[in-house]
Amino acid sequence: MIRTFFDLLLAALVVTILVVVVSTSSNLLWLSSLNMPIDFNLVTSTFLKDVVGMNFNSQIPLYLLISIPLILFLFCTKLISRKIWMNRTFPYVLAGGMSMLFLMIFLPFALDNLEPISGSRTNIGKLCMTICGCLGGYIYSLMQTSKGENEI
Amino acid sequence: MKYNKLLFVILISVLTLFIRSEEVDYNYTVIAEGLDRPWSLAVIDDRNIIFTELSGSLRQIKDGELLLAPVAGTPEVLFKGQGGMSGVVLDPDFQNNKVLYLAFSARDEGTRTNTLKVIRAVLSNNELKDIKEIYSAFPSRNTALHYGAKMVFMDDGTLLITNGDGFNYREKAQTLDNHFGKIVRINSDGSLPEDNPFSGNSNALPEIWSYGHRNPQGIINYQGNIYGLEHGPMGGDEINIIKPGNNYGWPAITYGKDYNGSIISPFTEMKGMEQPIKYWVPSIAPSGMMLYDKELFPEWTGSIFVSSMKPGSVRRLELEGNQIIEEHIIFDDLSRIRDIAFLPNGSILLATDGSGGEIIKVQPN
Repeated sequence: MIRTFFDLLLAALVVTILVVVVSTSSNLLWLSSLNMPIDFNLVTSTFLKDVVGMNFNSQIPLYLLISIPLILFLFCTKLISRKIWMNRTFPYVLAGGMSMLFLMIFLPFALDNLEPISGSRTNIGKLCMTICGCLGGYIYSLMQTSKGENEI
Repeated sequence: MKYNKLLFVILISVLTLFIRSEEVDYNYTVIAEGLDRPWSLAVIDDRNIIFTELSGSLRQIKDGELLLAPVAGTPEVLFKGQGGMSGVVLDPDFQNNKVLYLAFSARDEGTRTNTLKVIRAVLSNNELKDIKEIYSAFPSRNTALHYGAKMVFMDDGTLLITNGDGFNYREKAQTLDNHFGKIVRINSDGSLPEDNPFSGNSNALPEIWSYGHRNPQGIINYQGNIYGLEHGPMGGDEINIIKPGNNYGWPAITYGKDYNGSIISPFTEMKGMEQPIKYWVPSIAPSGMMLYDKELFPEWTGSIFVSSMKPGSVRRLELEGNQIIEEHIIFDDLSRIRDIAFLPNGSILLATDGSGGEIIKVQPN
């Protein structure tokens, strides 16, 4: 149980970092389209500042925001898939993606259409965020496989 | 030794006088209370004031007394988030024509979107007549934040209207095919002046006067100079000198950070983008602005006053040319201050924010 919880937290951490990558990239790509001088050092420093800022200087830490639905979706999938004889990789990937999609739908719904994660304001951004969730689910399934829980 | 003591006493006396000359003794008089989110003030004369309440009303203080009934005939507004009945400004010839202008957020019919609109109307007793819509921001938005919605007349009789970036649409402040994050200039009847900076540009909306703004909620015209005041995100509130065709940088350059803690832009300056004459980090949530040119408070003559909501106070900014040389915090014993204006006699008016808001007159003791 402790191991499962640790795996869930680790998957959430990976998704958080990926979401920051998407958010920072989309922002810098837009600035680049205005011919602003974006170089490798700036990308790196902005990414690191975003990781710190979005998790420690935000009203709601991004990690917490992502963890809650992701852990809920993955844990529910784990419980449900115990009853079904199937490979769990795909359900976990789906659950990860769904958790991010849920977050991107729920947040604007709760905040009068405001989209606080700037990288998710476009459809491409939403797609990228969903893929981040899918990757989180996949990583979780890999960790579960290494425990031998994902065997058919 | 005796002379040294005398010199010391004289020095202390001079210093005390100097310090006192910076102190201003004033008192507050509440002239209207129990208001529902007073938002914008327009002064007719010393005893007659018009103001908006964000919840949708236009109210009058007539002969020094608050009229209980709101002005009738006002348009239906979308009172949600930061939206509602917002800016009010009087026509330069108001004493004769009784025309005023209202900026407000309004829902688009049959859709879930809304936009900023401006109407022109005649105030007759306590009722609006001859209402004409003269501006509607394009395109509509699905958020109820960052409308801007302040107005000022230029010396040539044209009207400047501030437009916010709509929060979700901040990048659009850098493109000229929309009104997000723009200050627009129109004639008082809604028609377009021919000399707007982008009027010959087929890729730009012809109303645009300046762009790259976030949420400009203060704009004044002082001797032909236009000063704009805008909310930053977490930090980066700004005062700019607004000139036609200029790009004020949002969100490509900013001194603020996003509310989610991320970097909006690593740049604070860039060629082709204007620098503010004043910015605040952290934010003070600036709400209204005036340039005090009266003599009732002679120490304050020529200063810019910025009302702020975080914390509730007023910032008095000493101007030298177009440079701000000093900042003083005053009126910090009230709550969040939503707008500021002065009466012809030199008294200062403050509108405090929120339900139960007040309009307070500041006079010297």
